[in-house]
Amino acid sequence: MVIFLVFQLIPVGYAIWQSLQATTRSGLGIGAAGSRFAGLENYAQALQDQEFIAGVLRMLVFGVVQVPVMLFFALVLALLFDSSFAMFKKFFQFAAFLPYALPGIVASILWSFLYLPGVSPIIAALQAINVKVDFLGPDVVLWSIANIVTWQWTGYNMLIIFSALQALPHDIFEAARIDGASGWAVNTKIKIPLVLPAIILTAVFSIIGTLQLFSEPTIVRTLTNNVTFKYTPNMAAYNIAFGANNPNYAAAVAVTLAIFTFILSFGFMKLTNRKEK
Amino acid sequence: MSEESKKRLNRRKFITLTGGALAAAGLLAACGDNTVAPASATTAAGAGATTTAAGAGATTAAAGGTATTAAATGATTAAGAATAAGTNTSGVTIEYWSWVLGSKESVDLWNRTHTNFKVNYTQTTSGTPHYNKVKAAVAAGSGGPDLAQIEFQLVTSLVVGGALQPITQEAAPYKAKFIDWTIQQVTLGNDIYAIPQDIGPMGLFYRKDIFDQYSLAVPKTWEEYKAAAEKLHAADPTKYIASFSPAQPGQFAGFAWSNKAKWFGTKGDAWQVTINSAETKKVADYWQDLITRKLVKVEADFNPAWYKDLLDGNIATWVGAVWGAGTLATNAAGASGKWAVAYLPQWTAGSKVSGNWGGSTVAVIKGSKHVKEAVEFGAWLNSDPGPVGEMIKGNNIYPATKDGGSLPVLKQPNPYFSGQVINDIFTESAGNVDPSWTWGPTIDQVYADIGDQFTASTNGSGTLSSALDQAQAKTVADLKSKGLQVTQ
Repeated sequence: MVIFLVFQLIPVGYAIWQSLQATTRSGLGIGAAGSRFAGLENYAQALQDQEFIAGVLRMLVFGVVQVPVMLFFALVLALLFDSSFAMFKKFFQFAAFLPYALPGIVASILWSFLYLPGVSPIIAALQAINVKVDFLGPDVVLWSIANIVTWQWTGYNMLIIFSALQALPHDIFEAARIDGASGWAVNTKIKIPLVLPAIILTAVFSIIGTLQLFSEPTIVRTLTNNVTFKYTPNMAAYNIAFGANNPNYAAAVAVTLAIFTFILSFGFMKLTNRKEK
Repeated sequence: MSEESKKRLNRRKFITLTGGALAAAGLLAACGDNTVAPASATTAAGAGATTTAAGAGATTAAAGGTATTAAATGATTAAGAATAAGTNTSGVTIEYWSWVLGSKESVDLWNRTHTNFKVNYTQTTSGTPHYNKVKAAVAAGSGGPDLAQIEFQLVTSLVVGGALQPITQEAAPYKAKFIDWTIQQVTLGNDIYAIPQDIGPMGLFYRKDIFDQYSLAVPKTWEEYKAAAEKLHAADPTKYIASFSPAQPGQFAGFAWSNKAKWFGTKGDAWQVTINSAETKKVADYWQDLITRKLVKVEADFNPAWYKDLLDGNIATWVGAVWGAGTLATNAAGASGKWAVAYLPQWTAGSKVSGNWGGSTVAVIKGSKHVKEAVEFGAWLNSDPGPVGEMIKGNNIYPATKDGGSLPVLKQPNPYFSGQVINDIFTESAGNVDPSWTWGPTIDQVYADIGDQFTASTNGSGTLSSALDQAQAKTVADLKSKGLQVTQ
C-alpha cells in the first residue's frame, strides 16, 4: 500500500498538480518568475495545439496499420513454432526474439544506417536495378519507423502468444485430429480462439507502446528533418519540457496523452470483451 | 568550442548515440559501408565532446544500461580525476561543468598554479543532456555547478528560465579582454550573465579541386556564388554548390546575421521580434531560389550521408564557421588537400560583413555561493593563454578574446587545407561580425519552429519566406503566453 502510494500515486498526482500551474513572468523576463494556478488553461492549449494533435493522429494511423501487421506476424510465427513440423525451432525462436533483446536505440541506429542514402547497402542495391527509394522522405519515414518497431517487437509478442499456446492442453488437439480436423482447422477453430486473451493482451501493450513511441523517431530525426520535434506525442512532451522549458504545459500534454491512452486501451478491451460474450 | 558549435541537438545526439553504440556494440560490420561508418566513430573520438560518448558506449554494452546513463557514468569518472594537489587558502572549491575537451587540463593547471581556491571539474555530455542536467540541478536547488558552459544562443533563454545569475560587477574587471560583440551577446538589460569562451566566425569552405576542374571563380558575392552554382550544376548534374539543411537554424541565423538582420531586440522592458524582417527574408528568398531551381541539395547535415557528400565532392562548398575545419578534417579526412577557405560571400560587392555560427560561454548558475570565485576562474579560463591553449589543443576552439586570434598556435599552416593559414580569414571575419545581433528568450522553441517550418517548405508546402512569417507569429504568441512583453 505504501509502495503503491509512494511510487504510483505521488508522481501522477504531482504531474497533475504541475499541469494546473503556469509560470508568470513580466517584461523581459529577467526578474524572478512566479507561479499561479492556471486551472485547465494548459489543457485547453494542448487540445488546440495542432502539432500535438497531429502527432496523436499520426500515431493512430501508425497503430491501425502497424499493430495488426505486427501481431499477424507474431501469431503466424507462434503457430509455426507450436506446430510439429517446424525445423530448428530453438534457433529460429531465438532469432525471432533477438531484436527485442537489443536496446531500442541500438536497433534504431542500425536501421538508420540502412535508410541513409549514400551509406545504405539496400538503397545502393535498389539503385543498381534502377529503383529509387527514399526511406526518409516526408511520407515514407513514418513507415520506416513502423518497420523498426515491427522488427523489434514481433518476437516479443510472438513469445507471449507462443507461451499461451504451449499452456494449452494437448489432448484437445488430438481429439480434434481424431475427429478429422485439418491442421488449418485446428489453428483457426481451436488454437486462435483459445489464445485470444493473449493476443488481446499483446494488442493492448502495442497500443500503449505506439502512443508512447519516442526513441525510434528521436533517433531517425537525427538523419532527416522530416521527423519534426513534435512528431509523436511523447516527443512533444519531452521537447516542451526541456526545449521550450515549459514543464507545466508539458505535464498537461503528458496527462492528456495518458488519459487518451487509457481510454483507447480500455476501450479496446471493452470492445473485445463484448465480442467474446 | 568546436563541438558545441556544431550545435543543434540533432547531430550531437546522433553522434553521441552512434559513436557510443557503434564503438561499443561493434556493429560496424552491420552498417555495410566500411568507409563511412567508422568515420562516424572516429568523429566521436576526435571531435571532442563525443569522446565521452564513445567511452561511455563501452559502459553501455557492459552494464546494459541506456546510452544516456552510461554517458553520465563517464562524466562522473572524469570528475573524480580533476582534483589536484595544492593548498587552498580560502577553503572554497567551486564546481565547473563543461563538455569541452581541454577543460580538465585547464582546471588542473588552475589547481596547480593558484592557491586562493580550488576548482572541481565535471565533464558532461554535450548539448541537451548537459543543459537538462543543469536545469534539473537548478530546479532541485542543490547539487548544481557554480559555473557551467552555456552556448551563446541559449544564454538569454536560460536567464529567462531563471537558471543564471547576473555577474555584472564581478565581471567588470575582465570585460575589456573580450571582443565587444561577444559581451553584447551575454548582456541582457543592464546586466552581464556570462563570460565568452569561444566564437564561430563564418567563412566559405570550398573544394579547390572541383572549382579548378570546372573553372569556377571563388565567389566574393552571393551573386557570384549563384553563378557558380548554375555553372557547376549545368556541367555535372550530380554536383551541387552546397547542401541546404532545413533544420539547421543556427546556420541560417548566421546567414541572416551576416546580412545585418536581427531576430530579437529589446526596447525598454519589452521584447522586439523581427524574425521575418526584410534582411532575413532577402536571405530566405535567395536560398529558396537555389532550392527551387535544384541548385542546392536539400539534405540533413552532420550525418554520415552528408559527410560522404563532403568527401566525394558532391557538394562543392560549405558556408560554415571556424570550427568547421575540424568537422571536415575528421569526417572527410580522405578529402585532405582538396578543401580551402575563402572569405564569406557578401551581399554588397566590396563589403566585409560577417556572421557568427556557434560559440560558447561560461555562466554562473543560480544557487552558487561563490560568484566572485566562479567569475575569476571563468575569466582566467577563457582568456589566459594557458587554458585557452589547452582548449585549442583539445577541442579546436577559437577564443573570444580580442588578442586570442593572434595566438601563435592559431597561425599555423593547416595541413588539411594544403598548408593554408585558414585562421587569417577567420580572424578577419571575427572582427567584422555584425555587433547588433541579439538572442531571444525562447531560442529552442524558435529553432524548432524554424526547423520544422523550413522542412515543410522544402517538402513543397510554402516557401522559406512564408515559413519565417509563421515562425514570427508563433514566437510572438509563445512569448506572450509566457507572460513576456512584446512590442513593435
